Amino acid sequence: MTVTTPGVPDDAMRRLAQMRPGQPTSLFTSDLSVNEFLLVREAGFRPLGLVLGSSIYHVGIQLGRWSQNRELDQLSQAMYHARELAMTRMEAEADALGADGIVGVRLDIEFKEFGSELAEFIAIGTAIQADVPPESGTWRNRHGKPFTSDLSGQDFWTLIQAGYTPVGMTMGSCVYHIAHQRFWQAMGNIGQNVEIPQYTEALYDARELAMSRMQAEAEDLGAEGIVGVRMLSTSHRWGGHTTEFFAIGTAVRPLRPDHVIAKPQLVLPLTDR
Amino acid sequence: MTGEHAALLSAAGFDLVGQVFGSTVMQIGWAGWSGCGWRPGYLGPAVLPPRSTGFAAYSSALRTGRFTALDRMRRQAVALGADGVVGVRLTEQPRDEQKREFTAVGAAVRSRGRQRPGTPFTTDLGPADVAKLLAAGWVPAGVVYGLEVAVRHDDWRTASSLGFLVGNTEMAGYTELLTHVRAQARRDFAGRVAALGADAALMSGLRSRTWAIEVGERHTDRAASCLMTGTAIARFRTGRRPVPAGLTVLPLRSSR
Repeated sequence: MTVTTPGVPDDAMRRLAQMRPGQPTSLFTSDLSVNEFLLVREAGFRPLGLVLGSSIYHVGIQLGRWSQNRELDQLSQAMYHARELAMTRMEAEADALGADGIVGVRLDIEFKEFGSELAEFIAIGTAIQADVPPESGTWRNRHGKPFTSDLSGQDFWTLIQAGYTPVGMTMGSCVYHIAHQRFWQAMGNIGQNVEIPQYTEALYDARELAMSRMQAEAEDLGAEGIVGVRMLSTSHRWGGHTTEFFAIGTAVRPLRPDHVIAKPQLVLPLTDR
Repeated sequence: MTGEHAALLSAAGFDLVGQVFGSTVMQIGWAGWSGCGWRPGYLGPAVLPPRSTGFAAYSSALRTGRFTALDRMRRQAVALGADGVVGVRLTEQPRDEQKREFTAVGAAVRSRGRQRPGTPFTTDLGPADVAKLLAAGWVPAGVVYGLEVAVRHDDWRTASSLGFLVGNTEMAGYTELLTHVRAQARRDFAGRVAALGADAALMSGLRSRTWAIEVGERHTDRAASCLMTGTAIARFRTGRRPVPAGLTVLPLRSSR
């Protein structure tokens, strides 16, 4: 805060003094922070409302061969399908609001008290609508759906400034079973710091599968690239030898040929953090 | 509140008055609880939608507790001549089996202008956020929450005891129950924002919980609750100059 407008508190207090139960037509709720909310407005978008979708899914275990590296394809599909259900339901809410896109999407998994193999997959974001259409005609993606993006409001603002727009969140999942070592192998490694080749190979394989599935989705959306990619590896509740590798990011397309952004001002904060 | 907070507030045209607090202890029992309405042998295995009926007493006690704590905090702010309370924190603490304490605490502020708001506003946003909102032409109107508690009968669409036999699939019944409580909590929340006369709301929390209830011999039902909290905000027009635009900066911080 550098400048304040004199009279703001008076104008603000007057508005509160005149509060009447209003028309809930233009009312929106958003889970954006204040910074994100103001930046999304400045990027030329209006929040329409909070949108969410969820699915409670039974993700059991699939048996793998004890001594074999392999993908547990049924589990990969289940983990993917559950997230897809949550995302699709969230998109349907945004579509009903007439949104151009959804920003700040959070995709979470929460294992429920119902039972050890029941997890809730939930997608939450803020549906937004643009004040003006872009030069290319529409903000929606090539499937005519609102775009989804897990970028923060700040990153979204920067992306739009730089002449890009999200086309959709893309993801790929791969649940992988890593082989146990045979008895003599394990004995041979006692007291030694050595590479365990089958572990290394398994991790390479699984990550590669998750990434390539995510990239295939971006190609399907006609994206130029994927930004803000995160590669998560979680064992959820499957023990140490079964791990899910999950790649997720926001696919983008260009809005204009040049991608110049305003030169940032250099500032020296007087705080440590 | 730190010196930095006080500086932010004064930049926004407010003075810090002091800390305000409100609390209440509620007895929360299960009066009115009647199960999901399912009766064995009555029309076979029932597939009943989630119902909120049995929990009316429980959820109204939660509402009263929160409202009373907030209201007592607001009265303290009025007594201090404040115009608003920022950085409000609402907490619930179990005191024993059936008693729960609700507290609300925040920092009371007073506008330096001549205009008074009627009743003091409340917000769970901190001073920095309040200052930024005001600069952009929005004023916090009040802390708002939406609440819903519901129950659903356990049947073949929800039974998780099947384990292996179920395979990997969506549990439609549980999904329905949670979707229901969230939708109701969101509706409740939006209704309260509209009732205040505000234009929008910034959500700060969405918490859902599920638990099992023993309703009879070897039969359990599932209950779920959802609580949505946030701050309602209202748009105001300044008759002066437009809001300062954002400035792109690159902090020269060392990563150490």
